[in-house]
Amino acid sequence: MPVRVIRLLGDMEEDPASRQMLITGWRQDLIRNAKVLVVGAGALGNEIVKNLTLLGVGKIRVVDYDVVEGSNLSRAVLFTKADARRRVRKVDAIARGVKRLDPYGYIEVEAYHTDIMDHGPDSPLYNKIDVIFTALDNLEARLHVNTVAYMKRIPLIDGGMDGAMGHVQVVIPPYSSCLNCSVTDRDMKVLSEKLKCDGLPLTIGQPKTPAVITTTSVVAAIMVHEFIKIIHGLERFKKTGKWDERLGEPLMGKRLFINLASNKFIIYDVPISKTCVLHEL
Amino acid sequence: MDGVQDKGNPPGVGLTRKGWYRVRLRVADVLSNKVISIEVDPNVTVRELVEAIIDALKLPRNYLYSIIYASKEIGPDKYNMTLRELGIREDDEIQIVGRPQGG
Repeated sequence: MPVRVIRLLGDMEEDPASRQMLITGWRQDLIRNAKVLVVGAGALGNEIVKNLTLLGVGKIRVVDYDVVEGSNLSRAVLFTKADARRRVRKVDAIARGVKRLDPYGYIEVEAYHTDIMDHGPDSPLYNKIDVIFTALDNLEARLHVNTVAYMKRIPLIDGGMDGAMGHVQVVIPPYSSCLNCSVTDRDMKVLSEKLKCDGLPLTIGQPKTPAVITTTSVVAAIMVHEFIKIIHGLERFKKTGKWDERLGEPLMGKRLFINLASNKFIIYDVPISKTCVLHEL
Repeated sequence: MDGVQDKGNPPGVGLTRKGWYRVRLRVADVLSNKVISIEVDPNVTVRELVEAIIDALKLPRNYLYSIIYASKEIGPDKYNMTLRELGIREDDEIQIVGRPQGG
């Protein structure tokens, strides 16, 4: 029986992606050619970008308007003490961190020091983006990005956390529910009361949410694994309505809630709300 | 038949008001891992139920929550519906989970 050498083992061992390429159905070219937008360069943003870098995602665009502080260092693998001392822009610190970490030598980070709330659907920030990650610390900004993602039909992976609790939701416009589908008038009341108290931009969970790297890591890992499923399976899903079974089906139209304190992992459906204006678009 | 006999009083929010139609629900608080049992008029709306659960479990009010029934979030389009209209019955389980917003 003739034997064909597909690839020399020596080459495999030198390729940083060689182990993940052993996963059935894995396509490193899809990962390498992907262009993602990570909104928020805090703890969650750091973990997401770290995972994307190690996966070998070719282009990572990061947006944040904040600077590095000492309190970030317990949860932000790409920041350094020097970044905190010099109060470097988070996006610049992340870009440098990726350069240090990049095992492939081809990963490009585009750093945007800007407030995402100033960027609507026409903003070039969203140009040619395959998947958006929201790693934000408030509902208002999440809903803003969700609206743009829905209008531009870009898949969105949202994560949030508080202490030992976290959640992940995947939005695949126009097929699934979106973040706005869960927002009740009670939520809006909580938001507006927060606004009355602070007199500051609408925020929930900001600025001093309890946070620990363990929860951050779990939430970010789940978010980035959802990206793997989307980047491998979205085209097939659009054509056939089915995801690639080898890589799995994303949490589309569902939310995963985790509580590491009680070891609860719950997945529940998030139906499209009849009152959600985005689904009329 | 849901719970005890209707005495003809107008519908209300009361959790344990005597002499009303009542259903007993299990409420699982996934935030603290507690499970409590509450009695509630089946004519209350989901909106009223959420407030009652937050009060009963002494959960922080300035937080975002989702209410789950039969593995499905009860969305904002159903907040004005009553438990009866949603088919929530005696001994059903409702879960309350947080939607943490930290990043």
